[in-house]
Amino acid sequence: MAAHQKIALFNLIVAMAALVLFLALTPLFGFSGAQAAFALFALIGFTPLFYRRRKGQIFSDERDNQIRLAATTLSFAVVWLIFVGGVMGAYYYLQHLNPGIVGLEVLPDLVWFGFGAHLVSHSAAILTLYRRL
Amino acid sequence: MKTPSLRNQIRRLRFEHNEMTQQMLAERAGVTRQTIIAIESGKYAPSLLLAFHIAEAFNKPIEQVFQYE
Repeated sequence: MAAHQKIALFNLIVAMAALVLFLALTPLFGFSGAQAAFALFALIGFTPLFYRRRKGQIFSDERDNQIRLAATTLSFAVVWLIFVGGVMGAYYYLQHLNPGIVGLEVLPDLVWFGFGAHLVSHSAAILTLYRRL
Repeated sequence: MKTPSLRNQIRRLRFEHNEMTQQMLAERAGVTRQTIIAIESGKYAPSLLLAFHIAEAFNKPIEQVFQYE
């Protein structure tokens, strides 16, 4: 398995674990408190460990770069659609309901949704493209 | 209309070269083993530069390794 595949798989597992934990904590701590589950995303900081290479090992080549470029393009489209179409739409709708007042707790949600959408779509695209190409 | 494809003789040439492993060819061509697997199975079409590197690893002209059909 290529290093980029391992990273994508690791990111997907972290994202899924964060989502499951968030859903599990919501009945106990409420929507706002359960967002602490997203702290699991901090684990993504460990991904540089996958870039360690053994002596003489070729880490990345033109196929890997082509896959990453395609995944990034696809991820950009997904994030843009979700972030602009959904998250910012929700933000302006809330502002419409309460003119001039948007709850402070909404702001981290906007970031998490955008970041989460990027992480999941990018990782899923990488894993799919490695199977196809 | 038939879609053009890039055929290759990598598998045959590897066996003709003392059963060269995919890993050995990958190291000579400067790519990962996964890329050699993808090229060999026809899933991935290499760049011209990589195609030349692979041909060089077999000491053959490029047209004896890759065929455009």
